[in-house]
Amino acid sequence: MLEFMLRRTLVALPVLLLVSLISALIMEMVPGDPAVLIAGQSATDLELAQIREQLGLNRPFLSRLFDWYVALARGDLGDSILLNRPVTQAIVERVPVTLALAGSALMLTILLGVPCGVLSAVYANTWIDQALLTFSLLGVSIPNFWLSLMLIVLFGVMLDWLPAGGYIPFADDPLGWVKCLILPAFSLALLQVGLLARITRATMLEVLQQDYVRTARAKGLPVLMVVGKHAFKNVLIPVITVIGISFGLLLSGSVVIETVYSLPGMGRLLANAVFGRDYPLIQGGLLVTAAVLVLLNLVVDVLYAMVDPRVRYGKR
Amino acid sequence: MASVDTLATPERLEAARPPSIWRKLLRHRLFMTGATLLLLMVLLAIFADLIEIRPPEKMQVRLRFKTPDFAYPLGTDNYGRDIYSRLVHGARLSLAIGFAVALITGILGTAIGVAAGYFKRLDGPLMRLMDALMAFPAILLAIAIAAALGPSAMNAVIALAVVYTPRTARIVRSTVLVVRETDYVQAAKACGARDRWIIWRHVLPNSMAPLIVQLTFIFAYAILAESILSFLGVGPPPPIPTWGNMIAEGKDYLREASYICFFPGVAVALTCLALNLLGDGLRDVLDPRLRVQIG
Repeated sequence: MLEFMLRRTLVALPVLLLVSLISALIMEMVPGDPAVLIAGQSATDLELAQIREQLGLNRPFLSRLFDWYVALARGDLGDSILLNRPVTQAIVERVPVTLALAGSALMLTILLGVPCGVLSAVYANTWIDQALLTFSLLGVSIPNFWLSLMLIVLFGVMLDWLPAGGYIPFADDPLGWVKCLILPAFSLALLQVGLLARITRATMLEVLQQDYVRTARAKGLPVLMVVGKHAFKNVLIPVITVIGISFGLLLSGSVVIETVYSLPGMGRLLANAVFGRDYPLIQGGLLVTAAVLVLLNLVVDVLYAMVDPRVRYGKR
Repeated sequence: MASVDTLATPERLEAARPPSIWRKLLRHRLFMTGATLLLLMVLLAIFADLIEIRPPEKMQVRLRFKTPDFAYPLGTDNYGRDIYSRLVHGARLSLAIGFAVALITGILGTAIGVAAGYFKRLDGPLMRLMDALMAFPAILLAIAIAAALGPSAMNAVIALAVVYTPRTARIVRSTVLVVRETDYVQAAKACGARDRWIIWRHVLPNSMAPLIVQLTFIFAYAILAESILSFLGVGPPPPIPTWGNMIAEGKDYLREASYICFFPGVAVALTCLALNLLGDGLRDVLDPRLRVQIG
């Protein structure tokens, strides 16, 4: 087990290094002078010089890259131009909101996705299966920012049941907190529900064809009990897989969803950074999310190996 | 004496042969639904200039916020532009961007995937780079690249191609790894065939099925992602009529005129649904082993 963990960590290290390099390269891709893009056409020479100084644009690329790594080693991602404060600080402040959103979306995903997948597998190739499959395809096809807008119109404006946007911290008003997360979490979850349902369905179908399931059925045990007792355990694996994949999708999705619902999370911070061409913030945000995902995948792989010993011994 | 019934006549051999891929696809109900829907969208895009009611960028201040009626089937937006005409022109750009991304991704992904899968020495470095690119959340990386390059259709294509190429390369590599070990490739090698010939003659044709399936899905993702880029203001800049731009412009008038946002979103969803159905059908027929697709 320990050896497996070590091996996986060794694979992750060069990836992390490349990830940081790619993040650092983003500003190099800007055609022309980034300072002009940031300050606008009407900026004075003095302002431009200040921004160049701040971003280190007046030094050669390699020296800038070196400084970026030195600062990174100290946990410093530079200063945001728009907010005029350290990028790390700005990101850390917003993490709880994004975690609340991503967490509730993930919970919804599991609550909806697993039962849908199990139903589909048990009633494979009937109309129930077909309907669930179509629904999951719709979930992947509907742009979630558009769905959010439509949900806001329906529930926020026409029915006036839920807030149309904004965020209330849990400490201030727990009920309000739940209310303002329902629509965003649902919009964010929809895509993953289909994904998880399909993976669960495939795994379940495989399990249902196993001999021990057939034996259990032959003994006369009702379908539900067989599914509940024998087959369901195996669903744990796809759930873990999806949690691993989902987090990336959730972080991606949060950029759009938080913007639409005006939630003050990391996603909206990055969207604003993009609008304002705040490159240090864009780079920092990219690096942090990617690093979190790499580490999360590491954790998922280890969890995998714990749940399913076959993974541990397989040649990687 | 052999009875007449067991004779293998040409007609019987024909009948006994498993149905061709085309026959199977034609019989696949969901595939045909997707194909029809996509064909409709493609026709809209091709004949956009003929079926428009007004030029998509023509503003008419007196005709702002007209609800859908006979003269303006989908209503007009905040500048008095005809939503139907903009939608039809949006189809052109969305499909073009999606197709371009799928094509570029296909070419680059195949090149990288074959190189990594066939030549062992390239495998490590190439795939680590792909892993690193895949470590970023897809949309986030696309947004960052598009924001750095500047908002335009071309840059959206570049950004999305960078994001989706690693995903394609990984799939191509995994099939190439299998094909490389097959007997016919080993035999060709033993006969002294050159690598280039083996790749063209054996490896590529046998890696096509999963690639085509994957590219159909990438086509769908790209259309979805393009609408997100446009919506966030890093896609083709307004007043270019893309579906994402239309939704972005309409979002400020949700309360009064939600139909401005409604129709372009339906267009995106229908197009992606069509492509996803198409991809599912292709996968069922071409590559039944790949049942679960992970974006």
